[in-house]
Amino acid sequence: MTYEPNALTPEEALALCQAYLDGELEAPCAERVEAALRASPELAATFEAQRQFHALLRKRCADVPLPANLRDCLRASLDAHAGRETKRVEAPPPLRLPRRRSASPLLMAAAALMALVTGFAFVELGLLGRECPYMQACTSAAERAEAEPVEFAVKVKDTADLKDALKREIDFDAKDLSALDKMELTPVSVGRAHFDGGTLGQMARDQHFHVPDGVYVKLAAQQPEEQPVTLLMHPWPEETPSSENRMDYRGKDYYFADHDRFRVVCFKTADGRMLCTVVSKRPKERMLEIARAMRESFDDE
Amino acid sequence: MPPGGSKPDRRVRPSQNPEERRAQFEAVALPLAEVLHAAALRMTRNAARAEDLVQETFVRAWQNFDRFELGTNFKAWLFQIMTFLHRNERRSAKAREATVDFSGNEVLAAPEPPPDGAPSPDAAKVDWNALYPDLVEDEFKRALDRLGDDQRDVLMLVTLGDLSYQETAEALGVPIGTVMSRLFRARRQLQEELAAFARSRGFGGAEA
Repeated sequence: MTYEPNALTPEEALALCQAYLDGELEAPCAERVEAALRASPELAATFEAQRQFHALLRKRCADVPLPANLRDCLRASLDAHAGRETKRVEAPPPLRLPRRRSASPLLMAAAALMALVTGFAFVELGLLGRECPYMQACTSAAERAEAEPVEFAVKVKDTADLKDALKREIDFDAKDLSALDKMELTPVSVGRAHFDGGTLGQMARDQHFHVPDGVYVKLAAQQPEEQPVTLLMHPWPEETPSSENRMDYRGKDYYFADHDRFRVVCFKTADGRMLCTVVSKRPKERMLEIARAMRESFDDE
Repeated sequence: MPPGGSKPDRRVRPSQNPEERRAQFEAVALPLAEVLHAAALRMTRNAARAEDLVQETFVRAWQNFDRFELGTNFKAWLFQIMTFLHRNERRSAKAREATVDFSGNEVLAAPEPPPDGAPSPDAAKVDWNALYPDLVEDEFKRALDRLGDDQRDVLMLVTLGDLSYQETAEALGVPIGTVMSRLFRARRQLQEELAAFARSRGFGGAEA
């Protein structure tokens, strides 16, 4: 077999195979490769096999199950961003969250309340041991949520109602419920409930608000319809999170993982505490049922 | 024209009118949602994270759409944003793991030998076109998962994002030679593993 002067040897051409197939070679160089291919059917066959392999990779990589409503979700994200931008201007000044030094039964009641009004359960990791490493804490939180699944939504008018519901639905320890006597439920906006001097907020799509105890609650990411929303909860920081720097917050102090049917979202707060939100991955039908029950409850108010 | 030589170039001119700008953004961005999602899923290997990543990418792109450089490759830009976000998250996760794991068992990886440049000799014996229907997701995913994160990232940026080597290098903050090396190794490794699978299914590559 003879080669033209300045022609690439098969070895030289092979070394350029990837760059050639990726369209990375300048025209003169690509032409030299093509000349080498014309001169060697064996080389051409090797290149063709590589081309087929690249095509297979592309096709196979792209062949993934798509969320049914991916584009709708993306539009909603853009809408939500526009909404947050408006709200940012109205955001109240930052406040400090008083530290909770020890685990409290109030928190469990609070978790139940939040689950009641939102369909989600959350716990503070202080309950699980302050020294827990992140991963262990997440797993424990998930196990806790698994052990005490909260799968109901009821209309409550007062604390007695709430106590009854908690006892009935999740067999809540009666002694923990004594704390509920101090609590005021704010009707109408069930999304906000005063609790033992603090206030808890309902988390709704595309909403965030400031609550008096300094806890800042907002929706961080919108999930496809069949999945739960991901919720963030952390103290109102010195630097107010905004639509611009939200990602920075997430990047620094944010962790989430899926454990069984639950998504666990963790934060390391500015004052060193860890907060963890456990979001139940309920079936879509169940989520819709809860949402309907909540809406009816709100409407009645 | 060498194969793959035509890189898509979606030129956009963002309007000053918010509604028009939103429509312009959706017109260029939404058609890329599927491929972006596929790459995100391959890169994160987690369905929920992939969806979050795509949403964040869209939001970030939308936030910066005003400043989008006219005449540049929109698809590459989206993939670069996604890579930035993904790598930030991965870095943070690794940093957290480092603070939690005190076992001290981390071993520095030995430097990799340079690639020899030649495709796998077995590859030419495989009928890759015929293999596709038999190459189920589980088998492919297993092979893909065995790649290093860096290799997988490069592979997705080039294969699904259609990024040039230079654009990939910029997205990852590495020299272009590193991109070529990682890409080559990723393909070579996949090719060897999938060639073995192909042989087992009778699609060529029989031992000589």
